[in-house]
Amino acid sequence: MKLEVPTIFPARHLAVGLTALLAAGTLAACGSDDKTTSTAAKSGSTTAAVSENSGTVKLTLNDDGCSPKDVTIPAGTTKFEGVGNSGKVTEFEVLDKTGLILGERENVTPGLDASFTLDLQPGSYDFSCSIGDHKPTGTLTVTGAATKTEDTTPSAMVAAAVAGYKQYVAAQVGELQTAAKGFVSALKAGDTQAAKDQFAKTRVYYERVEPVAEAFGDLDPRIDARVNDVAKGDKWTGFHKIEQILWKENTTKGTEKYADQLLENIDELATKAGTLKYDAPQIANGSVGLLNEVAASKITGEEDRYSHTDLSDFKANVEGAQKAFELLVPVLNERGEQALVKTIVTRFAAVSDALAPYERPDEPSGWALYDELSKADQKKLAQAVDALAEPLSTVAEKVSGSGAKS
Amino acid sequence: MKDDGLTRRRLLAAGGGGAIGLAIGGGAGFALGHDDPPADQPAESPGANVVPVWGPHQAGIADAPQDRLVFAAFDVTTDSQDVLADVLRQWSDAIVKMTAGDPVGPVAGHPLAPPADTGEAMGLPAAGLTVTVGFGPSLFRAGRLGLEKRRPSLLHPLGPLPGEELLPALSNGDLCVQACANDPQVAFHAIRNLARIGRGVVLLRWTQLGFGRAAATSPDQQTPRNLMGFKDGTNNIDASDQAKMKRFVWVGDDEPQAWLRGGSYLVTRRIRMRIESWDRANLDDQQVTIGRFKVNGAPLSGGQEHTPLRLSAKGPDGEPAIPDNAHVRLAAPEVNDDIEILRRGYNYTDGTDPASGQLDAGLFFIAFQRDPAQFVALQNRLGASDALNEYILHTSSALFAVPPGFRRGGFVGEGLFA
Repeated sequence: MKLEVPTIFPARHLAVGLTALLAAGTLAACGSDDKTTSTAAKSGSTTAAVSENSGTVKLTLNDDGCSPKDVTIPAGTTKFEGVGNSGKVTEFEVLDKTGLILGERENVTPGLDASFTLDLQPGSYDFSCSIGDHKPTGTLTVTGAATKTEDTTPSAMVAAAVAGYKQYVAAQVGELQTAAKGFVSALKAGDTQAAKDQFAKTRVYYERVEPVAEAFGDLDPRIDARVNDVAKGDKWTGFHKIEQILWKENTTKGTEKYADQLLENIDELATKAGTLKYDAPQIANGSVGLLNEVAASKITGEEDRYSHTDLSDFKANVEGAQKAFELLVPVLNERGEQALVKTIVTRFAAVSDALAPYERPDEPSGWALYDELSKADQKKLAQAVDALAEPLSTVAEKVSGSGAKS
Repeated sequence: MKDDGLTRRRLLAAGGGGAIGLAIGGGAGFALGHDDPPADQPAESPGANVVPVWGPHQAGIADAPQDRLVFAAFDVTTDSQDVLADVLRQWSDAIVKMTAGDPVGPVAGHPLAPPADTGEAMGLPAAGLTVTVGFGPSLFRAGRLGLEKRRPSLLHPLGPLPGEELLPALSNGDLCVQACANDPQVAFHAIRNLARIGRGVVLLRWTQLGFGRAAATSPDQQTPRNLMGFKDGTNNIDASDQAKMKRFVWVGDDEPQAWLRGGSYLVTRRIRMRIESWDRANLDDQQVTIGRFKVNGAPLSGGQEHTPLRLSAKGPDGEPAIPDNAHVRLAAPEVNDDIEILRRGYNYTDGTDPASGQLDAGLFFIAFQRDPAQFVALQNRLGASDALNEYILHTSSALFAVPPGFRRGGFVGEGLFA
C-alpha cells in the first residue's frame, strides 16, 4: 500500500551552503516514508523531498545483511527499496558515520517490500540490515557535487533530537529495570524499611518518561494507577498498591504478587519503548504532559498518598520535561525561536528554585515529605509550573514540519 | 502596531479632562463618557453593543454598567518594567479585539499549537464588554520594579477602616482588571485570556464574579436592586454630568504624576451581607435601616425615587423621618462635605460559608473617585454608625490607580513606563 505523506508546509528551496551542512555534522534526512505513515500523517512532520533526478536503490534483506552489500550512488534524492527475503532480518536502515539513523523501515518480512526516500549529500554512509542492533552490514558511498537541498538543516536537527530522546528513554527504562529489581528484592526479603527507602528512588526513572508508558494502553495504569484510578471490578496493581501495603500495613507481606507483576510490566515497557517512534512535536507534547502530571497529582499530594514522597516524583517529571525540551532547543534556535527558548529556560530555573528549599539529602527520597508543604507552598509551586507549561505548550508547533517558512 | 503619531503629550492633554466634549447620547448608554471615537475606532455595528475602546478615559468607568462582572487582581512576579510593559501591550491588543467581539487570536490555528484564543466567546456578541486596568499601591513599592518615583500622589494602601474584617488572600493586588459585559461568558473569557497572556509574569491573586449590576450611572437607566431587595444607586453620580465627573471622578492636572491624569482611583470592597439576619428583619426595620421605602425606592422623607432626601423632615412622632443612623443619610453628600463617588458595583454570591452553611453573598462594591480620601471619608462615617452595619461586613478591600485611556498604537498604562 502506498500512502502519500501530506506536506503541510510548502517546501521552499533554500540555498543552504555545503559548509553549513557539514558543520552541522549531518545531512539531508527529509525522508518520505512509504509504509508507516501514521506518525507523520498525524503530526505533519515529514516533508516530501522528491526531485526529478531521483534514483532507486533496491536491496534484498537476507539473513546475513543486504544485497548488494556496497553501493555507490550520485548525490541527490534516492529511493531505498527493501524486499524481504529473511525471517530473521526484517529491517533496513541508512545511517551516517555517527550512527544516526537517517531512514529506516521495519517489519519487512519475506515477500513484503517497503521504501524510504533520502536526499543525500556526498559522503560515506552505512547500510544496516540487521536484527535490530543497527550494526553496519554494508556501505553506501555518495559521489558528485552537493545538490541544492530543501530546508535540510532543521530536519537534521529534528533527527538528532529524536535520536537523543530515544536514547534518553532507553537509558531511563534500563535504570528503572535495575532499580525495580532491587526494590522487589527488598520486598521479597521482607525488609520493609529497605523497601520503603527504595520506593521513591525507583519511581524516579518511571516518572521521567511516563508519557512513553502512557502510549501503551493499560500499561501505565498497571504500573502506576492510584486507588481512585481503578474502575470498579478491576484489579489494582503496581507501585501504589505496594505503597499502600508498605505504609498502611507497615509490612511487605502481601506485596509479593504485585512485586512480580511490577517487574513483568516494566520489562514489557522496556520492550515496547524500544519500538516507539517519535517526532519532534510528540517529544514536545510529552514534555508538557509531564508538567500536567505535576499539576494534576504531585502538587496536590494525591500521587503518593501513603508515602508522601510526591516531591521526588515532582522533580522527576520536571527533569523529564526539561530533558525533552533541551533536546529540542537546537531545533528551536534553528528556527529563530531564541526568545521562546530563553523564556522557557528561565522558567525551568524558576521551578527548580521553587523546589530547592524542599531538598532533603538525608531523606531516602531526597526530598521533604509532602505533609511539610503549606497551602502557600503548594500554590507557589503550582504557579511556577503553570508559568512554565504555558510557553512550553507552544513548542510542538514550532518544531513541527520542515521549519521552512512559506 | 505602528505609532499613529499621537504623542504622549497630546494623549495626556486629551486626558486632562478640561477641554473634552463628551458625546453623550442618553439612550446609547454604552457610549457614555467617551470622546467621539477616533476615525480608526473599530466599526460599531448597530445592535452589536460594541463599546469604544480607545479614548481619553478607559472604558468601564463612565459607561452605563453592564449586567455582569468578572474582576481579577494580579500579583506581578517580574522586577522588569520592560517585561511588565510588554504584558500590558499584549493585553491592550487583546482588549481591543475582545471589546470588538473578536477573539484574541485564532481559535483553530495550527493543529499542533494550543489555540491562541480559548474559544468560549465564539458566536457571542461583543455584549458591551469593557475591560479596565488598574495599578495597586504595592506595584510602586521600592525594591521591586523601580516605579517608586512614579507612584501617584494619592495611591497609598487604605488604612484600617471601621466595619471590616478583611481576608488578605481576597484583598489588594499589584494589578487589577475589571471586565464587564452583558454576557457572563464574554466577561469571563476576557479575564481568562488576559490571565493566560500574562502567565508567568502576572499571577492571579483573586477573582470576583458579579451577577447583577447594583448601580446605575444615569437617571435613564433603571435603578437596579441589591441583594437586600432595595434600589441601589439612586443617588449615584450621573456619568453624563461632565462637571461632576471632573470634580469627583477624573484625576486632574493637579496630579504630579502626569501619566495618571485623566485616570481615576478604583476602590473595591467585598461587602458580605448577613443574608439570614436581614431576611428575618421586619419591613419597618429594613426601611429605617436604609432610609428608603423598599418597593418604590422613595426616601422616607417622602416623594418618589428621585426626590431629593429631606434630611430635616420629621415623622409623626417628631423624630427624623430618615433616622440619624439610616444608610442614605450617612452616605448623603449633604452630610459629607458634598463628597460624591461614582459607584459601579455588582451583586455577588460565592456559594455557602462552609463554617456556618449560610449564604456567602452581598455586594461587590466598586467606586471610582479622583481621590481615595473620598471613599475613606464616607466609609469612616458609615462604618462607625450606619444602621446597616448590623447586616454587613466588609471582607475584602483593594485600591488601584486607573490610568487614562489609550489610543491605537499605544497601550494601557504606557505613560507609566515613558
